Amino acid sequence: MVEKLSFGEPFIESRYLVNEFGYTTPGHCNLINLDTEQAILVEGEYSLPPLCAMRTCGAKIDVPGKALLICNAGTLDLNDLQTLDCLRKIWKSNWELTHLEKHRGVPYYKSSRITIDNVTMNFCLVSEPDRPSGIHREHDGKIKELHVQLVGEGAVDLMRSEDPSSMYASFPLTAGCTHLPTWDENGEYPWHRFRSKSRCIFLGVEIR
Amino acid sequence: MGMKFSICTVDRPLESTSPFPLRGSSYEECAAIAEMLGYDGIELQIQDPSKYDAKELRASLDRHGIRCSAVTTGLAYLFEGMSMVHPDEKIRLATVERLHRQLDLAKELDSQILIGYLRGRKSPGQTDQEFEDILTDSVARVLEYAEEIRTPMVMEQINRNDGDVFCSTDRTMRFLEKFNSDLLLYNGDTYHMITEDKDVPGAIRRSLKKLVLFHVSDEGRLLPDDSHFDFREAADVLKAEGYDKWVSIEAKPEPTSFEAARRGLQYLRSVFG
Repeated sequence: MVEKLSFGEPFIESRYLVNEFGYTTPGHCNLINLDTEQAILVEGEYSLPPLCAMRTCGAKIDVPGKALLICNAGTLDLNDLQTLDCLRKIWKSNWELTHLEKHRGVPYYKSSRITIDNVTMNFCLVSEPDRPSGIHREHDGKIKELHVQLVGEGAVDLMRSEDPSSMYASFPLTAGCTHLPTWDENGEYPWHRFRSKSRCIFLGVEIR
Repeated sequence: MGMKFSICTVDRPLESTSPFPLRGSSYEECAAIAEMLGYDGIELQIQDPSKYDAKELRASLDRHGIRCSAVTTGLAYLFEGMSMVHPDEKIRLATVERLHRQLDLAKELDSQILIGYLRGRKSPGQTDQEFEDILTDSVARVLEYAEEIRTPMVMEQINRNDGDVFCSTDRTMRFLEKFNSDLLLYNGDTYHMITEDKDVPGAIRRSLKKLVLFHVSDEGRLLPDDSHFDFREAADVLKAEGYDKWVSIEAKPEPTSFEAARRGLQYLRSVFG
């Protein structure tokens, strides 16, 4: 089953695949394996492990679980001010979404959220470089949280505490990449945050 | 006053093979993008007008200073099998009734309905005349209501690969002219002209008295690239004749919806502006 999703339109086209075999990815795509157990077979010879991402170009894929395909995100030019303005107009800033004082002026803009099966996703624009999200370790319930970098560069930092100077490790994220799991076997997280290195867009994924 | 620039939009997830470049989760979202890019209007794909609050839809476009260039009706053909020439009279009448409601919505939006695929295809073994007779009956029923509420209905030429009988500009115009109504109007489309109209300037001049919407779309329903069709020649005719109505981008959302919308307007401004 292939379902076209509109939560990133008009900027990002995405398709949700479930139990789909022999599907040819269109053009340049980010392929994200949303399954927690089953690998995706690419061109019959490469296995994309669960919760990993890669870029494909007209590749034939076998998806025994769940996957997301994101098409042509690389064409978005975040250094183009008209593009940036349109993104900021359509996607909602953290301040617009929460009206929490700590979010005032924070340059994070989010697309609408979509939940399918056990997966919740949205896109997030960070319109300025070197802008970290809030440091946190709790989530809304037991989830597996992933950040998939689509445009520009970012990082997921691991911290000893809520103190920004307590960073002890970091997963650098370039476009097309995601990070290794940051949760342990009990679903507990270290203190962590997302940080933009350049203007960027990432996909936030929560799997229950 | 020059031509007004518009873009085909859709507020639901459709495959990227559909030639509606600007996509969003609502028409307000599409209007916001259209406004920021500099379009004058957007063309709405409406399958069932009863799913929309017409006044709220109007307000959402007004908030962005965006007009509705047309309420387009083809999704009811694609997803419900409706057709103005359907062999089943009940379906034909339901299609006519649906078009009445489309006209109501268009009136609220101070716009017009556009009929393309919803006119339907010839049945196996049906002659051109039989097809025309049935379509004439349905068009007359819709037109009667259009005249009652003084809201235009626009019909599109469709090339021989995608439609029947009324493929060229001249053949479509002859069909429209027989109704002798100033509310039955014409939509020219470069994608169909590529196949059907050898003399494009002549075809455009032939259509001018009814032309209110001109779709710009290249071979394969792509954005113009100036290698398949002489858009500049078409634009020159429209400019020379003082055409001041809608010119609309109808193309696949490639490489992305946003980029197609942006590049589409850049092209319209550079060639038709």
